[in-house]
Amino acid sequence: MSIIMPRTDRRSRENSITRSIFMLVAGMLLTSMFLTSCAIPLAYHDTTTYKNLTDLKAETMMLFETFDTKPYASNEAALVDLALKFRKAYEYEKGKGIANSKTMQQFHEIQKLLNADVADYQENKSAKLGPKYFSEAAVVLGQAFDIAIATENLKNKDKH
Amino acid sequence: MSKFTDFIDGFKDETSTLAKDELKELILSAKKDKSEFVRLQAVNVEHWTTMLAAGQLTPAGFKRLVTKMDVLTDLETIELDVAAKASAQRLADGIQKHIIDGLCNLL
Repeated sequence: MSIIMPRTDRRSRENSITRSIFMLVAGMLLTSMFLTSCAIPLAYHDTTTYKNLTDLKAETMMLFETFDTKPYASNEAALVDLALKFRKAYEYEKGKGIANSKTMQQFHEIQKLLNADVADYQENKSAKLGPKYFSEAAVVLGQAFDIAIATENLKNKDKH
Repeated sequence: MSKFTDFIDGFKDETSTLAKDELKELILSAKKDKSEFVRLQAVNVEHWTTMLAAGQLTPAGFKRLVTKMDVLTDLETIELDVAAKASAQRLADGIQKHIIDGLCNLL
């Protein structure tokens, strides 16, 4: 004996099955996306980080461009000031935690460049590296900051 | 001919350790690459080579600058990683908002 369901019941049952399948697929997709994006969590765009990076880029480049012509002693105070600003910006990024690890890595990379140039400058290596070396090193530092600034701009702005 | 190719062509290399044509081709093709980063690095190398030829950089200074490209590449790799994660994050947020919270509630 076959069971014949009324048309409205059948439609309701079909809707229910469709809904369940859709929820399941969407759930799997969401889980997949969540795992992909959150294996290493990503911080959202931060206007303070953006400002810190653009300010540091301008100050660093202007100071380093003088290395070819000015002795270390005349820039020592400015270098101490820059180091403090860089440290403050780094501590701000560090305070955001693991979600901000990518930006912290970029700060580390930029600091490597910066420290190497300051060490060369302090050791007065201009003759060894060339009369325009530090001007060009300043350009490279600017490019490094540009990448970090672009990275910050790539982050999503709408926090839920 | 650019100053870069002039310099490379004029380089005396009796041991033939420098593949001049390959180097010129590498820079030429990198300058046409679809990646802005790759194009910029090609311009950097060409510019530094010209500075080396003009005596504005010593060989040690040239080498030091070229080495810095490793750091720029590391920074770029992080940027690409963040771009991919941001896209995935946008998609996950969009699915949550429009499909789970929106469409599924209507089914």
